[in-house]
Amino acid sequence: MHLRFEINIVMINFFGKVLKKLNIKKSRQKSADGSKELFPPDVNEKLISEGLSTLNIILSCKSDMNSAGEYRENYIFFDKEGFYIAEFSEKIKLKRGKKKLSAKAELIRLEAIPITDIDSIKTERYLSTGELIYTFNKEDYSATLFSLGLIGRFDELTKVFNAYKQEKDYEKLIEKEDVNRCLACQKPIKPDKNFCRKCGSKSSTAKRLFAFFKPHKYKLVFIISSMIISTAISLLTPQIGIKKLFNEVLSQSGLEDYEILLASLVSIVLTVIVIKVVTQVFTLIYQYILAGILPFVIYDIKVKIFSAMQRLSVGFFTHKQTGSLMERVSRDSNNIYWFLIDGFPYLIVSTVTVIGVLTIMFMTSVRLTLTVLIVAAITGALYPLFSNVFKSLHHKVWVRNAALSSKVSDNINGHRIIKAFSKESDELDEFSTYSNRLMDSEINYSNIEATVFPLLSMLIFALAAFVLGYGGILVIRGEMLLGDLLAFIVYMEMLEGPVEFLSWVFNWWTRCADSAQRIFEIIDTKPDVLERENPVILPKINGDIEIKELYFEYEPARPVIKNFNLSVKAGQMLGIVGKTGAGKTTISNLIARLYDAKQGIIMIDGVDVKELSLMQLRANIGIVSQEIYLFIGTIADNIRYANKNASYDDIIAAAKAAHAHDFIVNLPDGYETKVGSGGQDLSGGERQRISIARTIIQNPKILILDEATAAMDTETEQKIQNSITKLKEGRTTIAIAHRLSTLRDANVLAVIDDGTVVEYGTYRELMDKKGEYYKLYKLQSEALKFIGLPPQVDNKDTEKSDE
Amino acid sequence: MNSEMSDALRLELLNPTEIKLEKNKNGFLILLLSGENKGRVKLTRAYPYNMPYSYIGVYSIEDDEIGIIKDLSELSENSETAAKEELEKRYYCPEISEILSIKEKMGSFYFEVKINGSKKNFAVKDISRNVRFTTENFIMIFDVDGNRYIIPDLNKIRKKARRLLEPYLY
Repeated sequence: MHLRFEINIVMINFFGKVLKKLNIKKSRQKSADGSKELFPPDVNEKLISEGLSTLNIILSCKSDMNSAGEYRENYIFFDKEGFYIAEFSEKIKLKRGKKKLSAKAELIRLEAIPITDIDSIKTERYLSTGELIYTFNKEDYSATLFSLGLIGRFDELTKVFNAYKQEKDYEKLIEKEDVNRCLACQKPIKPDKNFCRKCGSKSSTAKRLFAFFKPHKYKLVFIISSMIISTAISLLTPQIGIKKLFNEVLSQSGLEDYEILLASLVSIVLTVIVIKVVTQVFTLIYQYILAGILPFVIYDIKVKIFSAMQRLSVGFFTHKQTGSLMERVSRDSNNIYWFLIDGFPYLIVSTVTVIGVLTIMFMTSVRLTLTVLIVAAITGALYPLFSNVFKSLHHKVWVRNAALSSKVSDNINGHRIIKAFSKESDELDEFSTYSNRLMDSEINYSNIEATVFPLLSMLIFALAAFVLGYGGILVIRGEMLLGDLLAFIVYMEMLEGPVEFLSWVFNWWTRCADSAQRIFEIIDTKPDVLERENPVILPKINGDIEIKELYFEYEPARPVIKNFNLSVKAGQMLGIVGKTGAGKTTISNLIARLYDAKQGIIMIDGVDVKELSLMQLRANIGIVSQEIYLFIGTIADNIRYANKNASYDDIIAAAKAAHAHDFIVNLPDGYETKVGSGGQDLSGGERQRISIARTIIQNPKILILDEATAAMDTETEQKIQNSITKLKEGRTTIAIAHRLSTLRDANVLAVIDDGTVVEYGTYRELMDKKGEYYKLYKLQSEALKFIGLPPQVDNKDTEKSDE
Repeated sequence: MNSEMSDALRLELLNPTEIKLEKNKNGFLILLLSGENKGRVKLTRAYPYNMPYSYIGVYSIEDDEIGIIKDLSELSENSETAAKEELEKRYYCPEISEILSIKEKMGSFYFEVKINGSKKNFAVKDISRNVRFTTENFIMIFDVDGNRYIIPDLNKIRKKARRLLEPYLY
């Protein structure tokens, strides 16, 4: 413990020094004792000086506004005696005229409310702020406003405070502070990461990216060395081809040594050819090898992403758009591919060229090289000016292009509606607006390009002219040989490409690193739903379900399920009714553990689902939902999706049980009809019946029917109901519906509202109670009477189920 | 056919003469409807940008609709002021008066802006979706924490700041 403490101090000192060196403004000092920090030390000091004992504070929450909505640094906290609102201002003072900034909080106001004067606290959400409100004697009082981003913290405060007031176990509600901090900058980060996004940056990304080359490391070493060798050799061409040619052959007057001259001429030409051949051969070989290993590397990356995605929980997919995920897999890995195949080799070649050429140039003429470098520096300084203008213009074109394409795709996807409302001409007008905007920005871009590029090339031309003039003077004065000057000019031209490349390759690498980072983000994400290390595997699942005090939320601070209690015995059917958005589907997702509940427990055969093996759990839960997905493949493939070993007999038997057989055999390709994207069009009812057949093959012990027949017509529904009746035998069934007729066979019924069970009992009990279920029943039977149908909601089997 | 349609399109509105909105001693808005105290109420905007003070929905604190006020100007002066104050509070959105810098790092954009004269930093991901151009020159920015910021009129901020943001606008 003591050692750890010391290490902490050492680390803090070390990072402090680094920050000092980097001239980075340090945020407020954190206390080094590792205890949960409620306040920064300066705030703590102020509060103590006001006579508060900060050690007894149960929970504190920082807000960034006061109750008037002004930006402040507010602390809301409570202890056993009171509830406090401390309003601070952050004052920035100059320290002895130096540029260093120090922040110290000034206490503006401290309000203490005796805890007995508060019944409960709550938060209210506004557009971009939230308000903390406390209630006493049924009257609301405002405590503070805060930016909406902080609502999670305030909801925690609310929960803990209210639990404290109700004398419940509030301590377990206090979330442990995220002690996980970035290893480099100490900023708090997500629990599953080592570095924050800023620090986990390019260098480590590069390291991880190159780790994919590990299996090919010898080849990679060969590739890099051949690149260096071939580039270095190719740099000799002007040395021999021009310098030697002019200085040793062409400058000789007279023909007395004609044969010797001819011999050296031939040797020069031959050397140049050999150099070219050798470099070409090297280039060919390394490109060939590189092209051979890269697909393997990219394949590895793609497999890693795909397997990571299979591991991730449903929540990950609902938060990320499917489009952006697909893009990650394909576009990001392509970005990496092109950088590695084009950018990376040329990066090495360019670096070697620049170093080599500059060395040769310096060896040829120091003065001339220095002048070139000075002029080049001036051009280089001007370059970002132009490039910024271009970047901004280019981005504008890109954004408008994207807007135009989304307009087009919107139009194509909505073509039926456009035609039905005969809005073709309006659509065309809108398209022209977008198109015109794009055209404007493209014209703008081309105009600027047309003026700027000639300007830039003029600059380069001026540089060449200058070298020619100044070098000419040196040659005339005899301070330089003609061959040297000519070779020098050739070298200068050789620099142009690589220098330009090096000036923007960093951007390219940033894009590639971005892509890599996004890919690693998927690979690194830990799934929300994790299997326990040694999961319980039950010899047999019977299908008893019990749900106790369940709480769940998709988004922080927006609970969907609240204090939910239910139980179903094995083999029974439970009907769940409720309004849209009451939380019915969420319950089925939680039972199948597609999400994990925040609090509370779901037990199957008396075992917490979190303890059960995910494989066994999901194999024993069949969900037939309104959302039907058929995979690309044949109908038969889709039916046997749950069990690859199902025989042809099984497939037909399942389809028959699902009342799907008749329509399937009427299709020209029968069970071998291709479905899924690009396949045969099937109606909603047909697809639903295939999905039921799929569940029949799975043979689960627990069956969840989530509005399975909501989209069907009455006749199809009747058929599907019949098939479901067969399916239900010997299973626990949870049927979710808003049409009460669907729940005719339910043994027990639960009415859900606003995430909690408001009524629970048999049909008879609920009808006698004349509560929510009775209301729904009345409403629906009247609606049916209205359209001239006999009420279907009579529960004939109730007597039986009552027993 | 036509009469059926107009029936469906008839909007029930609250009678402005029956409405009295006022702040209670704790600063919360309460409604008196034909003299009956309905307690704390919430107000909602139907067209927050084009008609911020028209078609104002009145809801109880439990989110049950009480009705719609066609235009706040139809109310008594005191009620109108109280309603406007409540709407300003509920729909308050930090207004960016100046953009000092926008830096891109690893696909996130770090904004340094001025709001009510004080500096504020925030990060925006997926910039083409989270910086929105609603009506002409009205800009909404959503940061990674889910906070939103607005620039009510892009033409009113400095040209240099405008140029920083322009490439990201549709």
